[in-house]
Amino acid sequence: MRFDFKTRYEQDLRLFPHRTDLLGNGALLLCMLAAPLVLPQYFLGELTFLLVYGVAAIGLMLLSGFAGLISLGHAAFMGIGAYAHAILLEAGLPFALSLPLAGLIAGAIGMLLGIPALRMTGLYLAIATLAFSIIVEHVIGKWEGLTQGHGGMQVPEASLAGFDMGDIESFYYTALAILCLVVVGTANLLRSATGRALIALRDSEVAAQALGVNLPYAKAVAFSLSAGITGIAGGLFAHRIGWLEPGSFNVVLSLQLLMMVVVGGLGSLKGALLGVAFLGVLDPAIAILKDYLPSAIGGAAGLQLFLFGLVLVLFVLFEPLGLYGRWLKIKAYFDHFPMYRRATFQRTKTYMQSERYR
Amino acid sequence: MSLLAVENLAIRFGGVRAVDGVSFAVEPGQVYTIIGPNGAGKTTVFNLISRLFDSDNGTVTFDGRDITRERPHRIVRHGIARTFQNLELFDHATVLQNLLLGRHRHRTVKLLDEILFLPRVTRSEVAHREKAEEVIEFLELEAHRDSPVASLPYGVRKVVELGRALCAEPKLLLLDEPASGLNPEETENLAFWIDDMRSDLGLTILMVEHDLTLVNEVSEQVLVMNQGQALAEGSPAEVQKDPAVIAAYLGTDE
Ligand SMILES: Nc1ncnc2c1ncn2[C@@H]1O[C@H](COP(=O)(O)OP(=O)(O)O)[C@@H](O)[C@H]1O
Ligand SMILES: [Mg+2]
Repeated sequence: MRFDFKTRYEQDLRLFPHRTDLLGNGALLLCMLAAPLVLPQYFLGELTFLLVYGVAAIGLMLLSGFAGLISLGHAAFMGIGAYAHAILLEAGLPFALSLPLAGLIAGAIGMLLGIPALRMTGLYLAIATLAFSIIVEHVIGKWEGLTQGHGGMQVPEASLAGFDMGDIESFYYTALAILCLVVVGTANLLRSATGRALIALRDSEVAAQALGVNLPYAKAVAFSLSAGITGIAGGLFAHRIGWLEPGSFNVVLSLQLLMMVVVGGLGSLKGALLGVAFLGVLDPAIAILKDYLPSAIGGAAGLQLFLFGLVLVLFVLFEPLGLYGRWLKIKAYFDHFPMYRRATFQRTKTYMQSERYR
Repeated sequence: MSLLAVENLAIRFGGVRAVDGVSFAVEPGQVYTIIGPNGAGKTTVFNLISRLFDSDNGTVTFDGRDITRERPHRIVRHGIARTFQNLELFDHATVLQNLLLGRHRHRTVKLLDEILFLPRVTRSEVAHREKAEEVIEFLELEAHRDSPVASLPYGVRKVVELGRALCAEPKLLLLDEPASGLNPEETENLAFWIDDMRSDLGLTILMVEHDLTLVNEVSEQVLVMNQGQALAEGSPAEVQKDPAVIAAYLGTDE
């Protein structure tokens, strides 16, 4: 069993309340820092992709996992961030200015989307965000003066503090640093009043409002922060792929992002990152699987999408708390050994939303 | 001057006149109860005071200010906190997080401070935590502090919701059927807490309650509602003798 002895409230406010958390996260960070020394170029490149997805997944987790507002169109914010970043670099801005600006632009557009989305939840919101992403894809395709349309756009070379972003190692460390900043910033938000308000929004809007949470403001914050973070991920993504096309930011990407947060475990930052790691394994696994399947199935277009969808459905049905929820159960078993109760994670009956505040 | 004055309040949902011209006034320090059969419009009165709906007619005055058209999230800043008949807790959060959400109206730090987690955020969080701990002690919730709300029995969840409202440090507390679903022992605790909230915390309480034993014990003024209208008002003993009230409860026409 594990016992916690706490003597001051500040102890509960720390980023890592337990020493084991600090050790575990420290060890992970060390491994990530050492990765370029041992990994071959190709794998390092793949790992960098995962770091970039990590940033985007944190952005989506904030909106969908904490505030409970499901978005099926987050690829659009990656697209906006990627194009904004590339266009600003083209215009001669340095990386250190252009990437945050790209985030701000995506965040501002996210806030605008948040306004009509204020009165929508659940399925309606998912459909509205999906429609939004399709519109964005079209606008990017048609606005040739700015984006060079469907012909595609070369992402300019860039450097940060003398390090060339075309160099995979420099870029890896840049992406890692940005991911760490984003994770810490989001974690900070979540352990203070605004973060709690977002969680409140997810569970009961009426109660949140009765306690003084300004719903439109809180939703606007959720949308713009989420879109801004995802936009920054888009800017990084642009460097990784080197060539931007409107189709790079389509529904498949949105679905992948959503899958990461759902599989990882809605409502947890660690879950977002676990979900990214899971995708990092699943994607190559599908590629390998294709070679072994009969060509009629293995070669079928949409196999990848089908398998993504399947995984998503299986998780929603059998482990709605995701990989992180599974991990918590295993951990609780050992922490409470030998007193673990199976019912610890069972929920008691709750009322249907509609009959609740009559 | 009355703390809360409701005048001629009315709302209809489609053809249903849920609240139909109700007036009453709650004096500071009072425990004021609304009783009435199911569907009488009691919860709707609460929902109108807390601005979940726009009333069709009438005014609500609190502490001398007209709050009839106040924005919903500002109601608690005037000093009105509430609980819900069927519980509106943040199920995925812990008891402590729920209580800290009760502190939301007292937040002083800015969004950017929070993202950077500046020292002043730590200070304000500790201050909120101290207040929440006072409430935890008052309601004897120590054992449940870190439990997810969804895992708690119904009776405890009701107490958590009461605690969350207390964390807002309101002047007026609206309790919608606080004793429903509680066992006799829990109801007795509730009676003590209501007395203490009034005498020690200086709260005024407006509640909807069916348990007449509890009402007789803690409340000095009762309003009886039926079909959206006020039927009678007076002390618990007075209204229970009123023939119109008896008729309404037995379901006969007057
Ligand atoms: N949001 C709503 N929409 C439609 N009808 C409602 C709504 N809220 C309450 N009503 C109706 O108003 C009447 C009063 O309900 P309510 O205030 O909940 O009664 P109670 O006195 O039992 O709390 C009922 O007929 C109910 O069906
Ligand atoms: Mg009711």
